[in-house]
Parts: sequence; structure tokens; C-alpha cells
Amino acid sequence: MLDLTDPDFVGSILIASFGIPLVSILYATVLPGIERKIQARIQQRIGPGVLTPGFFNIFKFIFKHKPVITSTLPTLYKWSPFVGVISLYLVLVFTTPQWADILGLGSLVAIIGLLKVEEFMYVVMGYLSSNILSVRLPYPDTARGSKWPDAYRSTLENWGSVRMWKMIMLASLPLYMALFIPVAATRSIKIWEIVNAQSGGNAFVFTVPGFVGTVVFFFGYVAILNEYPFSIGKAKADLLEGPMMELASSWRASYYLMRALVMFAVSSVFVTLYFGVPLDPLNGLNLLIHFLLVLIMPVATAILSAFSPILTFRQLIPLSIVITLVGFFTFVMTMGGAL
Amino acid sequence: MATEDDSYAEFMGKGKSREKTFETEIPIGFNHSALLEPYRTRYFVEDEIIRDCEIEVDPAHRGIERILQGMPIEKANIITERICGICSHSHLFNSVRTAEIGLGIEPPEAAVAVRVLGQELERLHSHLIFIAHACEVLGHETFAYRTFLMREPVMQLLYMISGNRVHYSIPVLGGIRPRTQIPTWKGEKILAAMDELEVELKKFIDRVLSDIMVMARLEGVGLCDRKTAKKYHANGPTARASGIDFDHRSHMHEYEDFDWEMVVLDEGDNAARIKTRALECLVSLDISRQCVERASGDSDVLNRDWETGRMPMQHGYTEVPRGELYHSYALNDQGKIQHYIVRTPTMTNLATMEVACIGDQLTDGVVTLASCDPCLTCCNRFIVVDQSGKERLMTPGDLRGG
Amino acid sequence: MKSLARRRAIHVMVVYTGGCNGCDIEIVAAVFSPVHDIEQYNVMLTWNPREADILLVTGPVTKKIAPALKKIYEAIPEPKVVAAVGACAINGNVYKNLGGDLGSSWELAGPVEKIIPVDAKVPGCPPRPEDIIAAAATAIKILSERSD
Repeated sequence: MLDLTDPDFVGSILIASFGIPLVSILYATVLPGIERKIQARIQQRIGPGVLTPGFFNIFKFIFKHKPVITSTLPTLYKWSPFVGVISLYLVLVFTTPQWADILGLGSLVAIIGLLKVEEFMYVVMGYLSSNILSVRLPYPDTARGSKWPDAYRSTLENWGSVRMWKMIMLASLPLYMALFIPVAATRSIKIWEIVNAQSGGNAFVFTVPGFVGTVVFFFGYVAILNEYPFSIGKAKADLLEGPMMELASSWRASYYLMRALVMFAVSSVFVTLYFGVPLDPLNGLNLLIHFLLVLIMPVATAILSAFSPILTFRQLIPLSIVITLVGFFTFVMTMGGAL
Repeated sequence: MATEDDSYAEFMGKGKSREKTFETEIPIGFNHSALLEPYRTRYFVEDEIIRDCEIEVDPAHRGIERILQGMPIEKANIITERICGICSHSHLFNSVRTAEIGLGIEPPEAAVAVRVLGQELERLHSHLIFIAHACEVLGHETFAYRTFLMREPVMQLLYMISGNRVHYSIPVLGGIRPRTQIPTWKGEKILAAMDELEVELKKFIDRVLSDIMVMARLEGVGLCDRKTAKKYHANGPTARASGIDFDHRSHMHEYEDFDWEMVVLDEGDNAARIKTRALECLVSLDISRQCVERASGDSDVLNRDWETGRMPMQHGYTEVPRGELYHSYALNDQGKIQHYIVRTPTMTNLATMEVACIGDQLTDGVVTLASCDPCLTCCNRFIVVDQSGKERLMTPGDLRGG
Repeated sequence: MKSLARRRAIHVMVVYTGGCNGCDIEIVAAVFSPVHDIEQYNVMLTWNPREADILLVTGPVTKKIAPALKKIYEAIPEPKVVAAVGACAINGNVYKNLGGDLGSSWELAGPVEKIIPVDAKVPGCPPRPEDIIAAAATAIKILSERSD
């Protein structure tokens, strides 16, 4: 199938590898603005413009001057968000039909692996930096009158990393359960086979396991985005911003781009697997429906996050266990053919 | 590498030894979204559970007692008002009351009613900004925005009565500033705003109490039972949420003619502290309505025949939104202030919260600290810690060697 | 594109340096109150100096906070604008200009100008939220016209 002399094939591979992700990146920069606008309207006020939190934000940071980043390994720290961007780019590429049979990369295992890379970048960033507002803030007499004058002081980013470690487990489990429920229905981990099983209008989301899977997926989606009920990794109330605090100028722009891409890419995987509408560059109608359906998850996230506080681990651990068990139960029942 | 070698240890926060009882310290420093004033909190945590907490409040020290030494009493009012921005009326009210009690000046009845109205409106706006801040620290921005929306009419009322939204300068020696009296048309506007606010506030309280996620965060966290509150001398709504039923308004002569009830709950957790303040808002609305009845009309509001002269040390206690406020000072023969002492409620409230947040998770600990409504711009003192472990507060007399 | 992006996405950071807190609650009212809502002008509040364009400083700077203020100012990447909000930040207000027998307070390191360069001054004690929004609008104009 890898016939590099066939011009049609080469053309379609090029469009799938470059055209689709670049158009998606452009579309993804509108999603944070839509989310913020919906939250603002729920809070009874006019919010910022739709392009501001995503598109113009990224460009503004690109045009800022670059300061000296305080970090033990500055190069790794500065380019970590870009590694995340690359891994999400590859997620978008591998879900297109042109890549379905190349090197076995068109399967769910590849998607999950790449999402893990993105999640891990937060942990890496947090251990490497120290912002002025955490430990280094000049204070006249650091330990005056204290019972523990020589305590080990950790930076705010460090603590954010520790929490992100925990969130990787708590947040990923529901997401991966939900990604495997369509696998149970069609007995295959290849994305293209899952999509083909839903052709002809019987989308997976309208069946019972599909519906439960959607709810479980939604929780996983909010958690991997670090949005409000599950934002303890970068809680504004005590960690200010968590692992990303020291990023500045272009590197910060790449972090915001990574976040916008997470919003788009994970929702796009959902639409591909549950609605059966793939990112096919050669089929304009499918592409249009795909881009419209991708809006469901961010809008639902915006509404949920406007109505919830930050949940601490006291509430998160039981919640995550319950949702994962629901997903697992559905998976087992679907595998056994009962649903 | 971007840092020098010998400051690497300081950069990454590594101490020389590791204590065995806890894992790490997390400093929450001057500038932070959970604090509205600059102070430093050090939490000693072990796997997200707080084992100990230390608070230092001295960055905001501006030397107010020093500025006031030797100032004529009329001029001092401008400064006492600016001790704090949220409770500015309380400081001015207490300072003026102290002088009036000491010098024997009687303000007219309408003036007293307007002063009480100012105090209750301040209690309203202070409690509302506290609830909004607590919701924001919890993470629930929507409730914070909604509370601010409810608070705007109160600020507009204060603007209408006195000409400024913050620092309204209602009391002066002998009565009130004549611009701030309440003619009938202003009184009607106040009553209309109070009615609307009551409806909105009741809807809001019902909505918050029935929200599962918010109550799961607030209940059972930051427990402070009655014994702890008494031991650390908590006061105001912080104490009343732990079962101590004491309110200075029962002992102030300005409140003798008013009809109000004290709000006391006894769970002592974060939810109780927020509920106490919300219910106190409703009581304030009631008192405000009674004030407007007494203050309307064209009666005289300023008693101008008094003279300042020698006054022995006189103290005054007021119930301010955060607890108990104490001012005391003396006047010399020329009417200049001698030895001003201001003692604010947050000093002991924060000490209580230092103990109350132990045993909870770090995020809940920050909410506990915010739930006692700290307002530290007025509460810095010198504290001497002996090696034997005894603490003692130094007064300005000690500092001057007297 | 540079000037357009700088006009359409602005981050504001607040540093309080020991004032009476009146200016801070007016800034919070300007940001958090749906009536004033500074976000509709594309100005977003942040707590991270690395993300900020405009720095709002309130309060007379006490000696303990002065080094921290300087460090926070240095941590903000260029181009940046500093606005001193309130009379305390502009000239010390009652803490520095009125004194009894013992003079004014020795705990102050002076108004903000002595420590970091100031581009905009907002007078008032405290300035109303409308004044703060007007100050932000002026600062945005200064930012977007800078050519570097």
C-alpha cells in the first residue's frame, strides 16, 4: 500500500499530514475564546472577544521579548510545550484515513501513547523551574521565630508537578476506558475499522454503551484539560499557575497553543470514534460535519466549569474510581455481547 | 545554567536538614490570588495534609500609631479612616466615639442613626466581598461574579449618601458630616435597594446551600470547636460560628434602640463561617431599614458646641464586620493625641485559623485562612519571643524605653 | 499584526504593597463585577509576572516589600507598562505627608516612583472602577504604539 510512485497517494498523504493539522490548528485557536465567552455569558457579563483568549493571545506572546528563564535545564523547560504540540499534531495526523495502514500507526495504542506524552510534559516542566513568586521572593527574615527554620522548601511548580502525577492516573483512567468502549463493540483497535463499522448512519453514540461511554469520556476530557472541577494541578487558589509559571514569551505562546490543540484533538478523536465521522481530507462534507461536531465537548466543558469549584483529592479520588468502574463495567458487558 | 552555583540551593529551596515529621514547606508569599493583603503563610505539608502553619503579618506595617502621636484630634480622623479600606467607617466611628465618650460630647439622635446606617451598610459590603472572595478561592468564579453583582447597589448607595464608594467619612466629632444626612428621597432609594437586595440574597443563599460540590468542599473542613476558639480569643463571626454568643453591639449605646438578633451557629467549620456572615447580612438589612426611619427628615445632625481639652485614657469597643475593634488614646491640654492604640480583630482570628487548618488538605487550608476574613492592614505589632517560649506584646512605651 | 495582537489581548497583574486595601477592592470590583467587567475590553487578570503586560501597583511601598516589588518588575518581559493606582502609590498619601509630633512613618520606602519607573498615574483615594478602566485603556494605547 505504500506506493510512493503513485501521485494520488503521495498527494493525499501530503494533505493528510500537513493540510489537515494546520487547518485544525487554526480552528483550534478559536475554541478557548468560545469557552470563555460562554462562561462569561453564564456569569451575566460581556466577556472578551472570541478570538482573544486563543488567537490574539498566542500572537501577543510571540511578540514579547524573551527574558532569562530561571531553570535548572532551561532548554528542556522551554521546549517542553512544543514537544506537547508535536505529539498532538501527530494524534491528528494518525486519525486520518490515509495513515490507517502505515506502520500500524492508525490504531488506538498510538493515540493513547501520544496523549500520555502530552500529560507527562506538565510533570517535567514543574520539576525544572522556580518562579519569582514562589520560593525566591525576597523576604527579610525567612524563618524568624519559626519552629522549623531549616525546612525543605518546595516551589509552587514543584508541588504542581506532584499533583499532576496524581492527576495523570486519576484523569487518564476514565479517558482510556472511554476510548476502549468502541473497541469492545467492534473487536478491533484500528481506528479505521471502528469508523467503518459505523458507516451508513448508525453512529456508535446512539447505542447504550455509546451513551455511557460519552459521559465517561466527558469527565476524562475535562480532566485532561485541567478545567474547573479537576483543575487541582494548576489550581489558581493555591498554586497560582502550577508547572507552567515560569514560561514567558514565545514558549508561553507554545503552551497556549498546546492547550488549544488538546481541546481540539481529544474532541476530534471522540467524534471520529463515537460518531464515525473521520478527518478525511478528500471528503469535504465529512470534514465540515466533523468540525461542527467537535464543538460539542468544549461547549459542554464551558458550561460545567462555570458551575463548579475546584475539587480536592478528597472528592476527586472517589469520583474518579466510580466513573472508571462505570466505564469498565460497560466495557466488559459490551465485550461479552450483553449490550 | 541560568543560576550561579552557590545560590543553587537557595534557588531550589533546599534546606540544610530535613525534619522527620513533615515532608516539605510551601510558602505562600506576598502576592497571591488567595490573599488580598501582603502577608506570608508557611504551610508545612506531608502528602497534601497540613501538619503545621505559620503566618507572618508584618509587611503591611506603616507606623500608624506613630503618625498619630501629637496630632490634633480633628485632623487625625483622616488617618484613622485610612487604616483599612474595607472597614474604614468602623475605624473612624470608633475613634470618634472614644473622643465623644471621653470629652462628654452628645451627638444628636439623627446623627447616631446615620452613623449606625453607615456601619451596617459597611457590614453588608464587607460581608459580600468576603463571600465573593471565598467563592473565588474555592474556585467557583460564577458565584463570585454573582455576589459582586449583588454588591454593586450597596456601593452605589454609599456613593449617593457620602460622595465616595470607599472611605465615606460619615462621622465627625459631634455628629455627622452635613452632606451625608438622609433626606426623604434618599431614604426611599435606600429602602428600595434593601428590598431588592434581600430577595436576591435569599435566593443566592438557597442556591449555594443546595450545591453539592461547593458544600462538599466546605463542610467538615477547618474545624474550630468552641474550646479552641476561646483559647485563641477568636471574635466576631469567626467565634459566633463556633458557638460563642458574644456581640459587641449588645453593649454599644448606639444600638440600644434597635431591634436585631445575633446569629450564632455551632459547627465551627468553613461552611458555618460563611453561613454566619450571610445571615448577618440579612440582619444588617433589617437594622438599616430601622435607621432610615429614624434618620429621615430635616433634623439637626451636627452638634458644634464642644471644645477639645485634656482627656484621660479612654477606650472604645465596636463590633466591626470582622469582630471586635479596640481604640484607646488620651488627649493632652491642647487636644493632641497621646499614645494611640489600635487593636484589630484579625490578629487573634488568624491565630485561630493557624490551628484550625491543621489536618486538612492544602487547598482546603487556604480556604480556611480566607474564611476568617483576614484584614491585616491594621494589625501589625511587635512580638518578642523569649527563649523560654513566653510571648509578650510590646507597646510603644516599651519601645521608647519607658 | 504586532500592534493588533497587543491591543486585543492584554494581561494585567496587581501588586499590593501594604496600603489600606481600598484601591485593591476597587480594582477587584473593576475586574470581577459584571457591571464594570474589564474583560470586555480584552484585558484579563493574571497573577503571574511572566504573563503580564500591565503592572498595577497600589499602596505606599513599605520597606519590607520594596525588594520584592523590584524583583517582580524585573521578571515581567518587555514591553511593559506600570500604572501607580491611588494616591498612596503616587505620593505616599496620609502615611508620608501628614505627621504629628514624631513626623511621618519611617516604614515607607517612598512612593512607587522611587523604586520602579511609572508610566501612568491614577489619582484618587481610592479611584473609582471607571477611572481604573480608563487608565487601562490609556496603558493599552501606550503599549500598542511601541514599535519594539
